[in-house]
Amino acid sequence: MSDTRRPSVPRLVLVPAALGVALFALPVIGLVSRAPWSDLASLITDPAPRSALVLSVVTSLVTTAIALALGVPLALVLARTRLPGRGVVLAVCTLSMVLPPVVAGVALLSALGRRGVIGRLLDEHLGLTIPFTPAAVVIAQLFVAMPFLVVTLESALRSADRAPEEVARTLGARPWRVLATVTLPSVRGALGAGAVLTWARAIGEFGATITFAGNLPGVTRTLPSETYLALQTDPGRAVLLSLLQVGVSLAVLLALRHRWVPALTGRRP
Amino acid sequence: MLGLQRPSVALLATSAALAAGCGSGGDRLDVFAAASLAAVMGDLEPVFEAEHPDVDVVVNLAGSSTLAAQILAGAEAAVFASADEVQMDIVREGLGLPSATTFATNRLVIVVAPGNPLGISGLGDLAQRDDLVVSLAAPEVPAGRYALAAFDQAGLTVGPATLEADVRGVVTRVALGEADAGLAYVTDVLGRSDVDGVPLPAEVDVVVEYPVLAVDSRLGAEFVDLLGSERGRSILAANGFGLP
Amino acid sequence: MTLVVRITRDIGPHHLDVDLEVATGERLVIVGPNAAGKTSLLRSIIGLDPAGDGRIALGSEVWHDSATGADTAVEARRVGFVPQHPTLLAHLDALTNVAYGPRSRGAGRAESRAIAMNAMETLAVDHLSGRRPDTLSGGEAQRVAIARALAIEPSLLVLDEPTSALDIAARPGMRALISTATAASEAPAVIVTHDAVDALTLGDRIAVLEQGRLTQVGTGRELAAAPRTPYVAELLGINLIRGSLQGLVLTAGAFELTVGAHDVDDGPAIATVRPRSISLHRSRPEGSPRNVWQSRVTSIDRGADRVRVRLTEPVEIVVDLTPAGLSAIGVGEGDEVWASVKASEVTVASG
Repeated sequence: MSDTRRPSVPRLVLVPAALGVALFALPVIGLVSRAPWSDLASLITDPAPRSALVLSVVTSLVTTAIALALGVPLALVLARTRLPGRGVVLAVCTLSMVLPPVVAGVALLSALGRRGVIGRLLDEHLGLTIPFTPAAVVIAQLFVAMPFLVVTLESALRSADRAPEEVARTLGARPWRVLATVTLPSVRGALGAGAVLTWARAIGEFGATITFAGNLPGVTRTLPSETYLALQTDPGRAVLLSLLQVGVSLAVLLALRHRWVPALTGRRP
Repeated sequence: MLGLQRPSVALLATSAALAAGCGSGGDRLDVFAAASLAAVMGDLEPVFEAEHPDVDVVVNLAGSSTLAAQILAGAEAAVFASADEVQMDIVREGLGLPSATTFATNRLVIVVAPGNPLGISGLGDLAQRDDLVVSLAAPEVPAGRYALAAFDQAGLTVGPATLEADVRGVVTRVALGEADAGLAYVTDVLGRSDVDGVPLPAEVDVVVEYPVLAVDSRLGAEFVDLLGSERGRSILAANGFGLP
Repeated sequence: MTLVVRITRDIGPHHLDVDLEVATGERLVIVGPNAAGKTSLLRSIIGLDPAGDGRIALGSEVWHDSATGADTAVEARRVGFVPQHPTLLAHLDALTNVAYGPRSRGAGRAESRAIAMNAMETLAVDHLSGRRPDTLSGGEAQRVAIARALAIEPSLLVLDEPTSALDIAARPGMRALISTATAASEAPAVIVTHDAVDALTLGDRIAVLEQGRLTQVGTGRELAAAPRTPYVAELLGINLIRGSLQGLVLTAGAFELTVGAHDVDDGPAIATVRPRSISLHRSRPEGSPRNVWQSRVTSIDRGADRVRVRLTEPVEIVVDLTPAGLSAIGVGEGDEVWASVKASEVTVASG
């Protein structure tokens, strides 16, 4: 047994670190121990949680896809151009990350609700209302989750080395080719981490979705909404639903850990 | 002599009043009340405190199921005023207490925009008109159960666009203009200028009964008595509640 | 095709003012001290930075002309650029890196790889084709980078400090490689360096850039024979003293130097002396040399087979001795010493 590796942190640091671990682990342990496992069978056969789960998973994936489609170009513009107003846009992005979800829901209603600034026009001219549709769920998730992708990616793009891009250009690569073969691969760690964070935030979103999109089983009732309502009548059921969400999230995060952990911990992707 | 005494009397009275108001050194009465009783409790609190100068009334407002869970988990409640008989039964069974008394009733009402611009006249409109966006409370909460019961009684099925986690949410949806109509309690609509109420016909009326219980406390029992007194009943009526 | 570069450009507080030509197959080396503008000049020629006022043309292709507003994008100029650091794309293997250029220019996948393999064989790195860039040594990556530049059949080759990242021992090999690679291509080549040996061995002609301006352009021999600035002289290992010439005496401040026979008019002049021609003495020497002065040793650089002694006051002078010669005199840094040089060893040119 070699003694050459001394601990790299002072021993005392382990104490608050252990408390931090407890803060995260104890609630999950509490869930597991309080779960009425005998009710699991009835929960599985109940169509309501299943439709909520499907809705949550589908909307969060759609949100992530749209976030990538819109967020990557946005991050590129913010990081690589000198267009005026960049600072403001970035500030607004960061703001919506820290906004309480219900506030986000109210904001979305005032813009896209039936009497909202844009929503009113959609209703009058196209007969289109957004609230109470799965699209509204996606929009609510996008509003709160997309900034994670934009902010992560923008920071990586800004600090990325430009030399490879310049060399690629001298070799004859046009801007699209440079983007696809040099720029984006060079930030793939941040891209992966941003996408995973976005998905995780989207699937966990509750305040904005229930305020803006409403809550109808099969249409707009996501798993978090289902859990909140279960708490009113059957706390045991709420515990089981919570564990379901913890399980789904944990499974995805573990499966993708090679994508996002290195980027978040600073190691090279 | 009088000249000297009067300031000191005033001083004593002020400090007594302060002491009563701060509850310092006095008793504390925790009242757990359903959220729809907010205005009622707000009116009753000073009345009770005036009659019991050294008591500080603290009102805890929440959904009936949340309050029940808190009480069973050990919260120190002297009074439990519920909007849901089911939750009251849960608490009574859990604590082994005698039956509760009904102190108020509430009714459902159709919530519409001010002036009822869409001309809604009854449950039939909510169930059958395709152009209406309807909001109801979720069946998991009492108001939602009562709403479904009302439609059942009328022999109608309704397809709401959204189910709210609490009945106040229904009123908010209609007030914001996101929903055209909804079912909520009369007491939620009363006094609001941003919504109007369309009463339900007597045949499909669902009456909600509000039970109250004093949980192992002499003071609590006195509060329950106040609820049932002339004074209490007039406060309930002023806030839109029905009287048993 | 001849490369014509005429650029006037302001970069912050610096000013770039250059007019040069590089003929087909010719190799021009651009030397200069740091912050002279070499990198800016390169980037303007390649097209990565704006070129300001002026014209850049290769044969009949006009890459930039401020008069007409013409400006060809980087991608459209066929420049084979070998940057100072190889900058291979980290997520692709060596062969794909070399094939990147042809592929970007429209060649099919198989064709690009064939071209790439060819180029790598020329540079003797074909055995590294499947390797990832982070597994290659500095010299190997450099060769792959050169192969990458050659693979696009460039009309102009540009190399930025090709040997500065290598060990001294590895440099001769790289120089030979670059010589062969540039000789194989007919394209003119522009090589930027601050290394004198690079300049002398790689360049058909040398252009000296100081503070944004060309101070001297010519062959290595021409520069060594008549350096026009102290930098050039230092670069080529020659002592240069500016002063005023009258007859056979050059006066520089309080210093007087008797020069060898010449046909230069009186007036401002530049005297040059080889470091090997100067002798050092512990005490004032007797004998024939006409120029004798007292000075102080500021530094001694011991090389493999020679010692370079720097003197100061009254003039900055560099003297080359053998190690035996230095120990015979027995001086160290900071010591006073006497220097002497024959007048016939002092060349003078008008300045």
